Amino acid sequence: MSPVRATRHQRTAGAGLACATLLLAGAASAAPPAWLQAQVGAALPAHDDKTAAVVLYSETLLNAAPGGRLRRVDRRVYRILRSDGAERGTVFVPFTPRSRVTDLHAWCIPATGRGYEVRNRDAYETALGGIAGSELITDVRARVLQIPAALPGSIVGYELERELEPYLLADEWVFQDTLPVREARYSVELPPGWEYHATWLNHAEEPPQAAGRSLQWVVHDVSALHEEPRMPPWQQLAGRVWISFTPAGRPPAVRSWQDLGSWYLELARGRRDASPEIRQKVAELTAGTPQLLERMRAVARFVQSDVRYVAIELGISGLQPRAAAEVFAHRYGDCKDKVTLLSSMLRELGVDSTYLIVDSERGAVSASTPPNLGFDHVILAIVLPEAVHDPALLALLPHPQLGRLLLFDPTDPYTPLGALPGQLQGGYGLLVTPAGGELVQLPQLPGSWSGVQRVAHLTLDTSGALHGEVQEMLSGDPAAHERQVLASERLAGGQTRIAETHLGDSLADFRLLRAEVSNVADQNLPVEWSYRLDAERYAKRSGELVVVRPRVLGVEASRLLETPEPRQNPVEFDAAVEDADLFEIEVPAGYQLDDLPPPVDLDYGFAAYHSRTEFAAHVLRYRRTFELRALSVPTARVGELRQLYRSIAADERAAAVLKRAAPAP
Amino acid sequence: MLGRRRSAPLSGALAAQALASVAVAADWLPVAPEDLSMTTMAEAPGAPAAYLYQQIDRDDAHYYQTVYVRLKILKEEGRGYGDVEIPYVKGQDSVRDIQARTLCPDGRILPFSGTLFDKPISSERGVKVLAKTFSLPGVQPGCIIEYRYRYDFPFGWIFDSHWLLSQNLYVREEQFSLTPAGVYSLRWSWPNGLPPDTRQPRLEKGRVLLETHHVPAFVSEDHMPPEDQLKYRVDFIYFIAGSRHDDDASLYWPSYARQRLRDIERFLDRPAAMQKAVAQIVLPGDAPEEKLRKLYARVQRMRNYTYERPMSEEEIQRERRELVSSIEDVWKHGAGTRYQLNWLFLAMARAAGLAADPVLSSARDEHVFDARVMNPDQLNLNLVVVNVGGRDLYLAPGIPFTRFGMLPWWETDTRALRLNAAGGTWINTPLPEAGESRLESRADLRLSDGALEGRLTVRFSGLEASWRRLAERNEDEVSRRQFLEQEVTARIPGSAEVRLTGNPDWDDAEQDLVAEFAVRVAGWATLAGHRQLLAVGLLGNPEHQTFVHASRVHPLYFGYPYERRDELSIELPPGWHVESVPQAHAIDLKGVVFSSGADGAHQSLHVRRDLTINMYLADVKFYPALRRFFENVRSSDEEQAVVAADESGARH
Repeated sequence: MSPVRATRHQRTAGAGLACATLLLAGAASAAPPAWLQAQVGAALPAHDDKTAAVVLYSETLLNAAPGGRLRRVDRRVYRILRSDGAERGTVFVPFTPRSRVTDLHAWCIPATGRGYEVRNRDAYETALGGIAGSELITDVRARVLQIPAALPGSIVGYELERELEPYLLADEWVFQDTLPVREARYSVELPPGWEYHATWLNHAEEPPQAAGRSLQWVVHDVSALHEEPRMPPWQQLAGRVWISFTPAGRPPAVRSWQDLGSWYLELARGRRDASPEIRQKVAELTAGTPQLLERMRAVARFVQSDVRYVAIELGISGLQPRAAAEVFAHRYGDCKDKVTLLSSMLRELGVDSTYLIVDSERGAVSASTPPNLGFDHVILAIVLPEAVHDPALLALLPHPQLGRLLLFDPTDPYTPLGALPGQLQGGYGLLVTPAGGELVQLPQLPGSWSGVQRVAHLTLDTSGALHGEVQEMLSGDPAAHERQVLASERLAGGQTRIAETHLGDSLADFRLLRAEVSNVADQNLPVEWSYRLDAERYAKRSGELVVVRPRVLGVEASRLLETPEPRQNPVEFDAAVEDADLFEIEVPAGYQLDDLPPPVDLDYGFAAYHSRTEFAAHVLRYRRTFELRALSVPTARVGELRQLYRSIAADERAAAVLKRAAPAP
Repeated sequence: MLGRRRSAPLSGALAAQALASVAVAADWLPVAPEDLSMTTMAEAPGAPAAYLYQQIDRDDAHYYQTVYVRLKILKEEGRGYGDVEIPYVKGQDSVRDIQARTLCPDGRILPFSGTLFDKPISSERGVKVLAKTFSLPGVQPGCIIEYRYRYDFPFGWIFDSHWLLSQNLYVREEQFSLTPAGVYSLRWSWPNGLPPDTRQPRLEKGRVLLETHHVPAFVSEDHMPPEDQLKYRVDFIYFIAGSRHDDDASLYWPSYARQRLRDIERFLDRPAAMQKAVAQIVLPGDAPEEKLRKLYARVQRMRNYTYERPMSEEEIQRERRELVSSIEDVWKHGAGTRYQLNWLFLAMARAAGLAADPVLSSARDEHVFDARVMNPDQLNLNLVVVNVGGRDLYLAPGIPFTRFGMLPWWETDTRALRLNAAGGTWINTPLPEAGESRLESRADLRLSDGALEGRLTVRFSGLEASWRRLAERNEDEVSRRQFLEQEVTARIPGSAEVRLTGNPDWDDAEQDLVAEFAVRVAGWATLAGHRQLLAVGLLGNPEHQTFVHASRVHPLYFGYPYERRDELSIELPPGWHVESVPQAHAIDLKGVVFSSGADGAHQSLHVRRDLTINMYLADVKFYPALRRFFENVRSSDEEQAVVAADESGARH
């Protein structure tokens, strides 16, 4: 653990504070509103000693105006229990021109002393952090208000007012939090004649209480969502309600995914028309290429590599793609722009295609999700011509009307046509067809498409040093990741450094004599590494024994589940994989085997691991396979996954024991 | 490594000349055909892009700067450089005259004619930070992109600046100029040297000029000194010329020291109040060091604004913190900043009859202080030297949890200015030996079903204790527990369950920080026939992946000297015995020392591992030796003790 230099920024700030002349008067503090005061002394929801804070009260009031504008008021009250809970003293509100903050007001009731009040004018605005760096411009910003004295024992609360003009007349009430919630309320007041439809997700449905044109739902004692690595997206877990509205005398704008698809089709109408320049480029890319699939690959590769990813998210352009001609002219665009251009170019080859709107996090949308715009990515569904068949085309989705759809993501520069990045596999997306939209599940590619295979032929000498060659082949997601790592290297010897990092994972001490990587530019081929290495003290002496670890390279074990608390959520994986290793170590003459590690044969259904070490003709041979078959392991089976990882870890540390043979008399 | 210019109004002729030479060129600079056609650069192998040319001309007399950038895109990953973002403060700065174009390898020129956006970055209390953003068209590997613009600073503002020569990409050629503001004197320096074959910055016709070539891309590596100490840069500092000593560091600093001492003495000049305060803390019969310790402890217990949790403006206003005009105020308030608390200690030490001097110091985790630069802002920390029994003690009670007689690690072995009537003396603050900052781990474990289970006691002493206490000072018991448990878990390669038992003392800086844990490491012993193998490096994970690369650019930096001592005692199950243990190792390279050993007796295995890093900075020429050292450490950790079943046939 590195030593931490504490409060560098505070050092200079503190030096100034005490010497500064305090000209500002203390903030006036009006009494907090009744809904906040009522929480003082309220019983806390069930929690443990690690809980940083609890939500005492959560209320949302929605008022729908006849013109389709919504006015939403959110109230939250927290009790801070631990210093980590102080983050709830920061109110962070993303907003856009269509979701405007009209007021923000916050209070703190400390455990002792006078309370605090801060208002909208005390807030500051900022760009949203955490968005991938290619947003040239966006109208999404955040208003941030700091509530003073958010300390253990304090009650902090805020009221947020917004005016919303959603593209879809609907609202979402997310009542489950990463903190325990004592009480959550949602009230809506509708104009006369309006109808609503509520869909409950991840929670049993509760009937509303009606009073006139007002409806109210209340839930109590909602347990906290536990944040863990490799957990499903919150949309898959959090209790929430999706409420859509239909104004009086009008049909619902969006009743179904079909309606949503039609809406998007209209939004994108005309955007895929090809310009003369596009046609010329298609002709240029495909000249002399008779095979249709190869021509498709050429245009796909062009859009992947020659159109760089740049997002311009202003107003409707956050949803509506730019015209293909414009994207082509500038050679940049975001995911929907690249898809639009590619669709236009494929059409010039006589190949039809359509939009498939997805979420980059698998599980954010499911079969039970009501129609909504909660997607963040667009890929292309290509209607594969009858004549096109190739075993490399794996990302296929059969469609009763459209035929075989080949799914492709041109935003991903490293995954070739025919395959799909792991994180998109198995998720749900909105397929936009001429008949409207439909929710489809994206295919899961077989594990054989993705994995790492290693073969090594090595020699152990009498000093215990290991020498030899290793060939490593990466395909699928590991290959895409490796290409990205190689591409990000800026310096001379970058490839060597990458190889050294790989070897350093498994070898305590080594010299990399040669490292070559091939097929980096051709995404249709696996990435292949070839190393020549020496590892001086590979075999270890223990008295008269020589201990040799047959698993030379590669780590499949994981400490993901080695946590003090039991896992509460399923475990998500990027993709199904099949890995295999074969290491052959020739031992010196005069050494004989004394003990071998036991074989391992484990199969849990969602994953399997097999390893075997053999010794024959002075060669120590280690083979193993690791298959990950499922994209997700449910919570109930996480214990098995932990046991699998532990068994793998033990196998990876296991060693053969050799002895020097006694000399002949 | 220092240049300077005295203040003088620019003559009209000179001013005009200066202006003319920095005006934004109407035409783009010519492009060599070979620059367009090349697809790689030998000086930047593997790089996604490289600067062919960069020119920055700053005019402090007229409050603006012009920038010209030309980049060669070498790989697809370099295309992102075609997206440009130029931050500015709305209403204060402005960015204008932006021009940009892409030159394609086939000779086509694509001028930028797209949209120039004003992207909001932040807005607080009327201060809006925006960024001009634009995206160049047609950026592909092989292209050259170039853009230029003018940046206007607030009218009338003159402030220190710097030229950053090192970039994250290779720079083939760059030029800088600065036209000083006439009303102040200017000093410039290049604390980290200059790229090879670079002429020193020079003053020419009223401008400071620099040209440089072939500046390698700046590399970040693990265990490296602060970046500011490594990048090529030229720093400009304005000052009001008032002394004939401005040009000469050997005269400047004594003059500065005398001035600072006067200010400090004035601040401290409350003898009666200090006598009264000291009388409440020490006894007349106390020995000098005992007095000092009591005063030190008392100041450490005072409220320290610098190290409290961040407070909002509203909270600070509510507190109505009173002005501090003298040291008596600090004592009366019972609180102060770190800086003030150190001076309070100084005043008290003197009032207690001890000889004590103020010292101005710097933090070596940010920069290396260089007196030649004559930048007093670098001496931004303070401490106190007290002479007791002929021995100088360096003390900084203004930093919580710093043991008496030690300094925080970032203030050890730094250049500091001890202020005295003679004008100040340069000193180096002491660097504690590795043995004073120790992490000792003692484990009593049982082997059962391949798992190790038992008790682990970890003792942190010296700087190892102080930085942890300081880091966790505002956290509660739950966070601190997690902090310690996570640290131990990270030290064990493999599946470990670690639970803190007992209550470490987080408050007493004079005591070691001792934490006890219950641990269980599943699957530590692996089977090999009738044997079990146990790797001896149970706590060696921190050295994993240390210095695995064959080559290195920068010196090595460890923070501070330290020791790790691990002692494991593993009781074997009935029916098992130790068959063999790895050989002992001992490596002594003076700056780094490692030893390990194991023995098995009476159905138990004992393992000892000692690692000493008795330095904190090593020249890169020592990297091969240090790399080898850590390889030996890791290799030793991987060695296995072999235990076997007794003849009775007892099994795992």
